Amino acid sequence: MDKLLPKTALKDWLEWASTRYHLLGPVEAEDGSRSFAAVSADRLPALDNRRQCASPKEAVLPSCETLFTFDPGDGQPRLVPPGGEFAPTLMVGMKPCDVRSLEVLDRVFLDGRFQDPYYAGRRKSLVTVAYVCESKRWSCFCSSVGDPIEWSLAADVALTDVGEAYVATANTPAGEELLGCPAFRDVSADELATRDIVWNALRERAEPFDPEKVAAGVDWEEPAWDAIAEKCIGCGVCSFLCPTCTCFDIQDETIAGGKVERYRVRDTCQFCDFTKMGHGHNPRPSRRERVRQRISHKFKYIVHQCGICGCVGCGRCVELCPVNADLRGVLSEIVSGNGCESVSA
Amino acid sequence: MAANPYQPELATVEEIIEETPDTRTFRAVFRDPELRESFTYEPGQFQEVSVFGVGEATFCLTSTPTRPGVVEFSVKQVGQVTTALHEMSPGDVVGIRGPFGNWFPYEEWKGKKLLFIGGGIGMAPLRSLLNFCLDNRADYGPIDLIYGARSPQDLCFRNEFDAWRSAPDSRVFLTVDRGDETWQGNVGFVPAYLMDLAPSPENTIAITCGPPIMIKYVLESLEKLHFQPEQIYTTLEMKMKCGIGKCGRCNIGEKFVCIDGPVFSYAQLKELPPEF
Ligand SMILES: Cc1cc2nc3c(=O)[nH]c(=O)nc-3n(C[C@H](O)[C@H](O)[C@H](O)COP(=O)(O)OP(=O)(O)OC[C@H]3O[C@@H](n4cnc5c(N)ncnc54)[C@H](O)[C@@H]3O)c2cc1C
Ligand code: SF4
Ligand code: SF4
Ligand code: FES
Repeated sequence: MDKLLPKTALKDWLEWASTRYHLLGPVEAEDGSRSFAAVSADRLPALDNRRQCASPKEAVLPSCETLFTFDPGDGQPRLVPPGGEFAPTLMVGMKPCDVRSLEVLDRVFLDGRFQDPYYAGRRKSLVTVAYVCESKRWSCFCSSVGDPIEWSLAADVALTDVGEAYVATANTPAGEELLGCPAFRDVSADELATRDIVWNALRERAEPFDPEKVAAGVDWEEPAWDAIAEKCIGCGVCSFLCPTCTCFDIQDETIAGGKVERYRVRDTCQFCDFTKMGHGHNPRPSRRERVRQRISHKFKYIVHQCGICGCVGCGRCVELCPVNADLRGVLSEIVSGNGCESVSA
Repeated sequence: MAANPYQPELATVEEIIEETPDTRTFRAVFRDPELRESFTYEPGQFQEVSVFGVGEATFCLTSTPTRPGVVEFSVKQVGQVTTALHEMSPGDVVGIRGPFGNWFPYEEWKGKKLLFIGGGIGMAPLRSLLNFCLDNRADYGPIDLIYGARSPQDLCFRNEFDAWRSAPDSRVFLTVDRGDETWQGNVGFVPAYLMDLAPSPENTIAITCGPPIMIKYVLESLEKLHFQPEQIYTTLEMKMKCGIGKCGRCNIGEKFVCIDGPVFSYAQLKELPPEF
């Protein structure tokens, strides 16, 4: 279902939606950095192609969360689950890659032999509104690893900027309900044609990093690992901010009254002690192995495990790496080293 | 298995057995009487044990499901959680999550000869399977155990050697790197002793676990003795946290040791990238 939302009516729609949902969207902090935070009719989400630094995973896999509390009691110890229901939440202004990243997380946390109840609780209360980027940023390569329009159409609603208004495309019953708000108007054939132009522009690919080609080309002894490991300082920013990196640690903290909080906290395979074992052996002792692990996981292992490419081309790791270790350079080398079509940026 | 795989069940430590100067076996019973009855697992599986306030660590179940009501795990002291466990006394409470991971394909081994090759604390998962097979003695052919440690004091499960020796059609071969005045068994490394004993690969499955360096040489020795990779099984160790394939810590290439392992045949190991 397609409708038209005049830009001036965004406020009204959010006002209307706020009676059903807690609203999240991209907002700028005082220091200019951007992340998903509470939005409202008075604090509108920023709808443009500038990426938020933190990814939407914070909403479904917070960087730190309590799993349960151990209460030693008085000789009657027990475990207390974390309290609270998850409020229905509407996330407005997700980039196509953001939407896709949730699909990757879903495969990891909802599929397979074990379901993650904490993730499932948050995820099931989340309704998504995509904003189809009007153009790519310099660091973006979504269309090199997939189809960003197809990804947006997995959101409950996708908004496309057609000038004075957004074309809103509902893809699910929850999305259609959102388009029931009186702020929407009927859409014309011209406006739909303009939307398609935006869509086709975003689909254009600069460099081909087809996941299958990368997976086929990822080699255990790839020389590219040496090149990136030489630069990398192992800070872990690439994975902490990556929307699809999910590694976590589990720790205990003793709190008041001798109670113990068991929590999980974001972690990364880029840290040196991530795989260090009790007897001192570390199967990934240097940066080379750790860099290889991250990239092979994204393009190869997870494809095998979950049937989906683990990189959505959001460019966060490209843009935010302090030593400019550009993932695209490695991918180019891998793809060309495999004898695939040569890559010209 | 509880609906929440991160939430342990509470258990009381009933007995602590001092195996060696640095290894103790814990016998624990679940506090929930229903769970005590219903809890079951397979030889080769592992569990996550919590010392609340310190953290969790991974241990294989060294007891056998054929002797239900109590779970046993043997702990070598190396770090925080293992030290906290060593400081415990009977009556203390631990948390247990599991069982997790795959197990030894013992169904496929019926009628075969079994050769167990253990080193040090690596005997823990083998003991589960060994006692399981002895409790189902008629299902298997002759059972041999080759077990070694650094010194006689470092051999675990000493109070069970007699029971293993006297079981029908089974033999126990012990070796230590360094003997002492009382030691009457073999002196030498496990792989060398294996070559001396030169067991026949015919209709035999070899199951090995021990320090990584021992496993490496045992695998080589078994190949020299003409065992095929499909006839050899081992259990792998990687650093683990979640035990359920989510935290991203224990993978070797495409395989998670916590859900695709920890038990692998040597044939499967050869398919994995060399990162363990
Ligand atoms: C499938 C499986 C089965 C296992 N079965 C058994 C078993 O039956 N019995 C058994 O004893 N073990 C077993 N293990 C190994 C056991 O899980 C580990 O020994 C245990 O988790 C160590 O926990 P810990 O908290 O005591 O050690 P940790 O405190 O985590 O420390 C381990 C080591 O890491 C190093 N270390 C810790 N913190 C740091 C730091 N900040 N910086 C640098 N280095 C650090 C230290 O050298 C320390 O000795 C098994 C492991 C697996 C994966
Ligand atoms: S952000 Fe850059 S420097 Fe930091 S771990 Fe990633 S690749 Fe290495
Ligand atoms: S690997 Fe980099 S580009 Fe790919 S999804 Fe993660 S942060 Fe984005
Ligand atoms: S222990 Fe967490 S993925 Fe295996």
